[in-house]
Amino acid sequence: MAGAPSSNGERRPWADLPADVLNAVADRLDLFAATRLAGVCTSWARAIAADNSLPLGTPCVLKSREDGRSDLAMRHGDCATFQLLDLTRSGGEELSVPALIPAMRHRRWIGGKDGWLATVDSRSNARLVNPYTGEQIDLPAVTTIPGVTRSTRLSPHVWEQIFRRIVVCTTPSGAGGYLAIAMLEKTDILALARGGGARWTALKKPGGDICYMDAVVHRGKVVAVTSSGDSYAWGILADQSPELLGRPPRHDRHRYEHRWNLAESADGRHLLLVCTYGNQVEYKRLCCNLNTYTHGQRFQAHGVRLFQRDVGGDGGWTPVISLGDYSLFVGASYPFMARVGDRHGSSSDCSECTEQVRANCVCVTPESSAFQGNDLEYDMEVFDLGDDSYRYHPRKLFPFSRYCNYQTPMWFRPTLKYCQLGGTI
Amino acid sequence: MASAGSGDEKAAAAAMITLISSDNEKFEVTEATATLSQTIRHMIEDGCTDGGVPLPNVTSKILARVIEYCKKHATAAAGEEGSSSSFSDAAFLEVDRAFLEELEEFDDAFLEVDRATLFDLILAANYLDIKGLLNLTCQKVADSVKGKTPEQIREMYNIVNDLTPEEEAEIRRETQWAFE
Repeated sequence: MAGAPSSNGERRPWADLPADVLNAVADRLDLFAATRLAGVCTSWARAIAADNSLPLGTPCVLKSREDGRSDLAMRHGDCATFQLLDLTRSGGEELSVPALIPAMRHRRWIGGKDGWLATVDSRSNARLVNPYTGEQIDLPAVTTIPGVTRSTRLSPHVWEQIFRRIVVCTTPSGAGGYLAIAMLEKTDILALARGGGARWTALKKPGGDICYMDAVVHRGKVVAVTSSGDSYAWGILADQSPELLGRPPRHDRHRYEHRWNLAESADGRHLLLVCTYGNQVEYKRLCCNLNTYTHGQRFQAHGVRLFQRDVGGDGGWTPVISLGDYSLFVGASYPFMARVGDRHGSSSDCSECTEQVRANCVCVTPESSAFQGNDLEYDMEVFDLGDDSYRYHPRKLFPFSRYCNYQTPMWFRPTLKYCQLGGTI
Repeated sequence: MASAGSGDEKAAAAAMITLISSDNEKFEVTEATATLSQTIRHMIEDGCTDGGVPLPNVTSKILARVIEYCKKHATAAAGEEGSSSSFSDAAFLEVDRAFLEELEEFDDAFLEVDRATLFDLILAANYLDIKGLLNLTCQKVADSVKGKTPEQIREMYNIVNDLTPEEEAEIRRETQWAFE
């Protein structure tokens, strides 16, 4: 009888459901189903927008589920439920919200921006996925990148990792369609694809031996940084040779190794360069079979340095001392600046800043390398420019759940922007 | 509990509360049943239940269902207390398990109602502050909207889409962060 009006033909004003009741309903849903409630009517939108237990507008870590239920999920073959972790709440309290993304079954995310994830399957078929609306847009075939071929004789269970990361610079929600940069695992190739295009276009290589570490679009140019700290800029439209932007001054001569990330300043006027310095350390970890140990070396960060410059100008890189009220979020997803702070918290003075992610920090999720998940000890690292401190959020993953669908943690900012869009979910 | 003498039994029998629905029907229930509602519990604590508790927001039809729910769950609560204070051997666990299963079946059957009744039950559970019933009914709504688009939800619950661009802009202004 569900759905039918009651015996006397009455209808009830479901739009007038009290806000706390609607929030209790949202509490029992994953993030994306909860945000869709906001697309139903004005009063529901208001209730959801004000729901304290949804991390709306807050940078969260999107990752594999780490609670006990992932085991259950694995047995039931449901590998589409992930987890959003809000680490900005005061008192060090972590808010965890489930995130159901059916389109992620048998896929891994290797990039994303706003409401879109860049995903690949085991054959490196790349696709943009919108978890709010269920929209899916195929990216051009990896084999359209010059010099790239696919293995033909792999078992279907083996993942062939050709893409290292797909940098989503403009999402398909933008006017001109998407713009994505492919960074490949084994080659020093950067390739561009845009909405409506049928192929990836490789960018002209600078001379010499290079290894790209990050790429962004800034003021109409593709900018990439290499492992040596050199940045290059390409015009998007023409088949241009890159312009060398040079590297920032070194602050140490010998001790450290460097990791490089690019971003834009909050006002969009400057290009930012994040230099993470540290060294290789030995690690020993219990394998998932709990009988043997793996040994190896991994990069241990010590701190970050931040630089900025104008792409057009010739002023070179200048140090950035503070980000003010903002924090910078980098990793597999497109870098962004955001004001963070417990918007529901009572105290605005920061006498006891116990939240893990706060203002004036550089917050880094691991490099997109889903296949080295075993080496990761953290979901994200925080470098505080204010007090020069370093923190990380340790990875807590059930030993068996990595068989399910291990995903590299990545920044994701839940929003109501897409709540009214329908689509097939 | 086990040591209840004849005097206590009388006291228990006397602890009856009268609930009065919006259409003036009277329901006599035990205190244990009534106090599943936090709202009524507070009224009892404040000693303002003499002459009955008027519930102007709840019709007799819905109140009857709410009482049915509370009776069943009050018995369950009493049963749990009883078993936890005694030695939990296998037999007791078996009884517990059977009872919980029965309770689950009861809840499932209880929720087989049309949407108008579901709506009234939610409002009653919210007003009377009956946590278990609110959980149950909210879960029912949550299950019904899983995997549905806003349009499908509107259809299901007969909601008019009043989200004009102006309204949306207004909500955006009020809650900037939510749309960032």
